[in-house]
Amino acid sequence: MNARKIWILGLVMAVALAAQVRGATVTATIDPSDISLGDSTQLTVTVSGGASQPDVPPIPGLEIQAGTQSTSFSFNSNGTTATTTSQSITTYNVTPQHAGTFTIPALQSDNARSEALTLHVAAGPGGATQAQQAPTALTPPPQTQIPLVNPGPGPVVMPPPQNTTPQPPQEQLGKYGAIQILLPKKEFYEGELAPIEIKVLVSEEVQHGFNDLPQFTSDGFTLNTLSPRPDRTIEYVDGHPFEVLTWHTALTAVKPGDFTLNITMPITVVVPQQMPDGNDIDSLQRFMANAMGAMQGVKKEIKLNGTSEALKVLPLPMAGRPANFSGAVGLFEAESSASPTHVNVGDPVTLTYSITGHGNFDRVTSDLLSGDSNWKTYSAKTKFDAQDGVGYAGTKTFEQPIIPMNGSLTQVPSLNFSYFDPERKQYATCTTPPIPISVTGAPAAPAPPVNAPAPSASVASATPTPPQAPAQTGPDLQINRIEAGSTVSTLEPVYLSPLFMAGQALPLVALLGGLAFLRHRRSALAPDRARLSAAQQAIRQQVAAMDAAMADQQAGPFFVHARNALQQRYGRAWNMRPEAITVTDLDARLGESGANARTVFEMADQAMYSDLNLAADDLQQWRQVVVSELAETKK
Amino acid sequence: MKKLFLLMAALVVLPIAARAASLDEANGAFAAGKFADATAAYQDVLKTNGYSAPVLFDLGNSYVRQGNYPQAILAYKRALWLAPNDEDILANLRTAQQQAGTAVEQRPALEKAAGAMSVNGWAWVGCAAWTLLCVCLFLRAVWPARSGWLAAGAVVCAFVLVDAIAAIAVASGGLRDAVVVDKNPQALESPFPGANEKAGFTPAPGATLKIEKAFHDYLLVGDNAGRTGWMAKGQIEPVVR
Repeated sequence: MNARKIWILGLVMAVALAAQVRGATVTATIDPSDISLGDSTQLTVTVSGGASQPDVPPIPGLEIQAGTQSTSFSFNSNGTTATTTSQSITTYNVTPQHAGTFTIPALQSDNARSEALTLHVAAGPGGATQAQQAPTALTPPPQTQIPLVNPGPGPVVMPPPQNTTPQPPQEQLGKYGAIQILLPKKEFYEGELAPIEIKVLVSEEVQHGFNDLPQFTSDGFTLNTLSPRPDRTIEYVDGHPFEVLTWHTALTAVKPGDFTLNITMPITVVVPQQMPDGNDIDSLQRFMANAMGAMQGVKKEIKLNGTSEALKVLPLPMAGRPANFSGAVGLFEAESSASPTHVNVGDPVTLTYSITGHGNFDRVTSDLLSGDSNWKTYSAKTKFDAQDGVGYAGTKTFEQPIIPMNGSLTQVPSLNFSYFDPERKQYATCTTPPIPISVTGAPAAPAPPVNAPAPSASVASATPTPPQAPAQTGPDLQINRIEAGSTVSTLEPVYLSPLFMAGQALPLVALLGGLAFLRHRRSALAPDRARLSAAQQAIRQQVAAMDAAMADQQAGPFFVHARNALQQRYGRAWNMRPEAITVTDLDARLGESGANARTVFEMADQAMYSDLNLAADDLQQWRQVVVSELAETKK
Repeated sequence: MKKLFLLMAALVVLPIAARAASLDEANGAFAAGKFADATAAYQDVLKTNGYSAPVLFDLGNSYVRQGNYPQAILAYKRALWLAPNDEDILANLRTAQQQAGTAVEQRPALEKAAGAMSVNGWAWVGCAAWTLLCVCLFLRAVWPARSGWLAAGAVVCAFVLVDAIAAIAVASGGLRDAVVVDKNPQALESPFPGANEKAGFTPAPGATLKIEKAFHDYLLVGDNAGRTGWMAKGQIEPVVR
């Protein structure tokens, strides 16, 4: 909608409102009108027809606070005429200072006037109850103060968080809201789990939305996971309504030191666009523009921040730490039971050990009877039943299958569980009483006839008042197994399976295939190897012939054999027929580095057509040159 | 994809959880002295999850407590097939055989040695040894320079393979074992009752016999004394089935 249309709409509404002023009405109601001292009631003033809101005069003995105000417009059109009506409702919170009857005088606005109201305030109970009040009572609900539970003996009760931070006054709430962190105390021990309440208050007078969960930062604490569905309520602070999101969770102190908790909550608010003040527009125009601006407000991402008071985390004392202390911090009680209590040797018994209380249940552990040679024990099943939503209070139950190994046992031994009590600042140990049990263990009976009734076994319990064991119905047996172990679908041996037998052929096939491949590969390499061997043999023969010619002082044959040897070497290296290699090939492939070889080739050609005479030393030098060339080419 | 993963995880986890619960129930019934219930529960566990030595052992115990020694012997024998050298099973088998009045079996040393693991265990060991032997032989052809080590490896593998085959051969004698489960068993001379109803011999309930062959609803069985006869299939249960 552009500015021109806003102005036209505002003009129409202004004209309509001006026309309605003449028919203005003011209505005032108070509900309830009979209350007790200490209670509050609500005064509602409704103005219609365009009149301005009347002022409520101060009344001795009554504290009157303005609450919410709402204005509504409606347009009615039948095609030929159009009418506009407006209605403004203001609520006030009225709290009497003393008992008695109070009169709220008639409220006047323009030409309209309300009726006078009477409020009766009783000295004690008997008036209207809080529950009878309007649901949007303006008084802030009284802050629930739940005392810490005295950690003495008896049933364990979870101490709820106590508000160590008072309800934030209006000036601390910021423009849009605030975050409150409610903790039961300020001093913790390392490993201690404590309930925490996180309240995010956002003004209901601002259009807002929540983008994410609160973000927690602290060096000394970790926070449990926050639920995506917190409790949502409306609370009033200094008469202003706030939407309150409350998370009930728990945090754990992870290391000693002084820390604070910091919580940030991202929210989105819609900021109304305000019309600038100025003398060129009148108040009605500004009101209309602001109303339209509010409808078109700008979204803004902001973060609410909350910081707790300084918290201290103390290390767990080393003095007096029990050997079986597993890190449990809190207040716990333990009890144990066994079922059945009348058994034969070797029969399984379920030992149940329950630890109830509040604290860090993740550190509540027990070895139960493991290590007791009188009992065969198995790994215990663990179960935790939380009494709250955060796992702070509840019961952890261990169920361990145990088997008595001899008939002299009369009781399941007592069990100990140690923990650190942060209230008493000392370690404590819960000890359960022994559980009487009757174990029947008879010596092996002589073999009776098949299916004959078996002899009863003697009762071996030595307790003063032992429960009677049931009659044994058979000979002594090795004890039952608790765990099923590995299973097979059939008792038939696997080697009778055709698939298994066929599988055994695979390694053999692979071996034979591999060997065949190797054989083929080697035969493919054989010709090359044979050629190499023949070339080396020929070279050796030519060198021997060189030596013989050198010994006979025959330079011509010497160079011919030298050339032949070099041809063999180059022929192998260049993959050419040796006799086809000429000086031209030497020049092309060796260039300047083939000068000596070229000379040998030329000397050999010269020796074929003329006598060639060289001294013995020269032949010796040429031999070294040729041998060196052969070796060089071999590389 | 995530749903498929969860479904597969459930298919893996649920049977395990179900097995644990059923065995717990069976043991609970046993501990409470409800041996018939325990027997039914153990059989249910076996039917649901397959054979396992511990469950067969527990089943045997429940039969002993009911005085049903032939079935107990059968259960212990089956447990021994899976865990041949388990001392607890052997002890309870001896106890059941004593109670049943049948011969208490003595295990030869060779059978004890073969019982170091189950027949299936030996089969897999032999399979592994055979595979490694082939690998050694192939590598020896590839790297002749290391043929000494590889030859030694091949010899070890061959030795293990022969051991496994021998152990399987020894243990496989139990494939023909069967336990007399009828209270009034009778081995006939002929599998044709109408033609010849003369009793060959009368085995004791719980006795272990060897099955020679089958003919219709009859099995030709023999005992250690060399006696043979035909027994109706309902009177005798093979250990391995």
